[in-house]
Amino acid sequence: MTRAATSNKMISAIVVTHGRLADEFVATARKIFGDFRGVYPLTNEDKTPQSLADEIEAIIEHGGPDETFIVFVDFLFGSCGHATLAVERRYKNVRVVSGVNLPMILAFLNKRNEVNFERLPSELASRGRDSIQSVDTDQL
Amino acid sequence: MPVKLARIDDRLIHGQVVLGWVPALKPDRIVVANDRVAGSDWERKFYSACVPPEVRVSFSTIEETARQVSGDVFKAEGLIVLLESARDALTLVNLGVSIQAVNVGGLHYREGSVELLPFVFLTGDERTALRELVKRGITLSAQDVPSNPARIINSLVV
Repeated sequence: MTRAATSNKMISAIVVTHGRLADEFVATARKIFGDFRGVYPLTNEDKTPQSLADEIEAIIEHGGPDETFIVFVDFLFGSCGHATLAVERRYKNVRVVSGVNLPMILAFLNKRNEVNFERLPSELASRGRDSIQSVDTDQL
Repeated sequence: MPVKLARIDDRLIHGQVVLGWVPALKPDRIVVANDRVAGSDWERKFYSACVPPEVRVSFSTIEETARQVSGDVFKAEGLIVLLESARDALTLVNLGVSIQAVNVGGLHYREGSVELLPFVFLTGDERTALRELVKRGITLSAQDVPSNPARIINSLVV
């Protein structure tokens, strides 16, 4: 029996945000990057922290045995962050990266097959920080 | 120990509280009255990190909150008291805390709940708890953030 497919450990992402940001991050990334799988948008709208946490958990529980998850959250210290951290505490295969922006989503898609799961969260956070600049065209 | 705001919100401390109610009311302290959070180290740290440094924050069980607010533990402090559910609010009132008004700020959809307002979904038990608050002469004011109008919902829960 060949295990070639599962030896390639899959890193998936869940994007947890206020309003429609998560849907739009994923839809917009698809326009730039092309099609991809394993990125799940979730909104906190009309949900209790518990029901949002349940939805995050359901996605993780449906994952394969070797699947790991980066959970992006827009704003750490709010209801999205609370639900996300409540889940992170219960799973070894979950890491949280906050302050999600479009460059971070694109970096995830670019790097998820190259960088291992332990290093990926800090690389994504770093990519996100680097994308935030006060810009003066004279100093580009 | 003036309670500037007693708020029912299943998210407890979050953006609407920190960016809406704190600047509007300028409380000295936010009291998270919740039995689970009072016993959860990570949640206390999490919620503490949500609060701007000029506002004190404390975490107490409903019983402890009743003692603290009715006694003089927080005397001379303006308080925002946050409650996760209508049931918790009723327990606090039943333990002798005197409140004239309760802000209903967010009770979101759960199984078996019915929509009253876009941010207020009530289970049968919560409706009963709110009705009890009304019987005690408390005004229920549904309002998510201070810049939106308040709606008195007493007549909708009896």
